[in-house]
Amino acid sequence: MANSKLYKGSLSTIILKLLDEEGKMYGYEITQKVKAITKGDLKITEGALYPALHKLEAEGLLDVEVAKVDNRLRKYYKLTEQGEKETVNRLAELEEFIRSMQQLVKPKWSIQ
Amino acid sequence: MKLTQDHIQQLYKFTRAHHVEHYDLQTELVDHMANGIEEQWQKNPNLSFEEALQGEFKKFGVLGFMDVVEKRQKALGKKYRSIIWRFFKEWLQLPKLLLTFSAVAIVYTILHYTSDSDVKEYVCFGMAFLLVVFSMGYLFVSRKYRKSKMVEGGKKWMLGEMIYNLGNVVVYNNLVFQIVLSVQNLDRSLIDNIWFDLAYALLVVAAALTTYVVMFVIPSKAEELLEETYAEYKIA
Repeated sequence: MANSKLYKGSLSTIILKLLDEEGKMYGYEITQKVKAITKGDLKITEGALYPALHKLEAEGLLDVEVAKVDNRLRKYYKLTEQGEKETVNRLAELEEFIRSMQQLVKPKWSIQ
Repeated sequence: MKLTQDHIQQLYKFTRAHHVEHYDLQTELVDHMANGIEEQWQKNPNLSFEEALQGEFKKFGVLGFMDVVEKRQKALGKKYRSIIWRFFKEWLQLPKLLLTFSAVAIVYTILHYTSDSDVKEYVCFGMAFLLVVFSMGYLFVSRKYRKSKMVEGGKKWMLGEMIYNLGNVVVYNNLVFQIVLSVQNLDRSLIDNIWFDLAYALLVVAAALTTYVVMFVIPSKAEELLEETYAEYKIA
C-alpha cells in the first residue's frame, strides 16, 4: 500500500491530467480510474477528492455539466481553457519535482 | 442491480441527516454513493441496501461529509467574493465611475472644510454609524423575505444561501465602524491632514458601494448567478 501522504500534494495535478485525457468525468469515475491505473496502490479518498474538485472549479480550471443518468443527476467535470493551460504547467512542475526527488534519493556519485 | 427512485430518495435523506443541507452538494454525494452501492451489489448481490450504504459512508472517514461541506463552503465563498468584485468593478468604470468619483469628492470636501478636528471626528463617526445602522436595519427588516428566497422551490443552494445572507456584510461594516472608532485615539496631526480626508472618503465610499452591491445588486441577479454556477439548477 502506497503512502497516500506522498500523493496528497499532487492530487489536483492527477485530477487535471485525468480530465485532460478523458474529457469529462464524474467523481466516482475518477476514484475508480485512479485505482485501476495504479492497480489499487493509490486510493483517492472521497473526503479528499470532492474538496479538490470544488477548489479547482472555484479557481475556474474546471467546468461542470449535469446529466440525468439512471434515476439520478450526475455532475461531470471537464477542463476549461484556463484549466488546459494550467494542466501543462502543473505537469511540468510535477515532473521537475520527480526529477529532484530522484536526485535526492538516488544520487549519482560519479565525478564528472 | 440498479438503485430505485426510492433508494435515491433515501440517499438524499441520509445526506440531510448527516448535515449536508444544500441540494447541490447532496446531489453530488447521492450519485457518488449510489455508484458505490451498485458496485458493491455487483460483487455481493445479497448485501442489503442499508449495509451497502454504511459501507460507502465509511469511506468518507470519521468526519463523514463534514470535511466535504466545509471545503465546499470555502470554495464557494471564494466564488461569491469574486461575484462581489465583478459588480463592484462596474463602479470603477465609466459611466458609473463618475458617480463614485462624485461621492468620494463630496465626502472629501466635507471633511476638508471641517476645520475643527473634534467636529471632524463626529462627522466621520456619523457617516460610519449611518452605514452600520442602515445595513443592520435592512438585514432585520428583510429577514423573512431572505429566508423564503433561500429555500425557494424546496431546495437550498449553497450559493443562494450566501447571496441571501447578504455575505455577512454587516460584519464588515462593523469592522469599518471599529476602524472609525479607533480614529479617536489618533494624534490630531494625523486627522488634520488631506491624506486622512482622502483615505477616509475612499474607505467610506468603498464600504457603502460594497453594501449596495451585496444587499441589492447581487440578490436581484440571484437567479442568473445560480444558473451560471449550477449546471443542475434548471434541471432540478
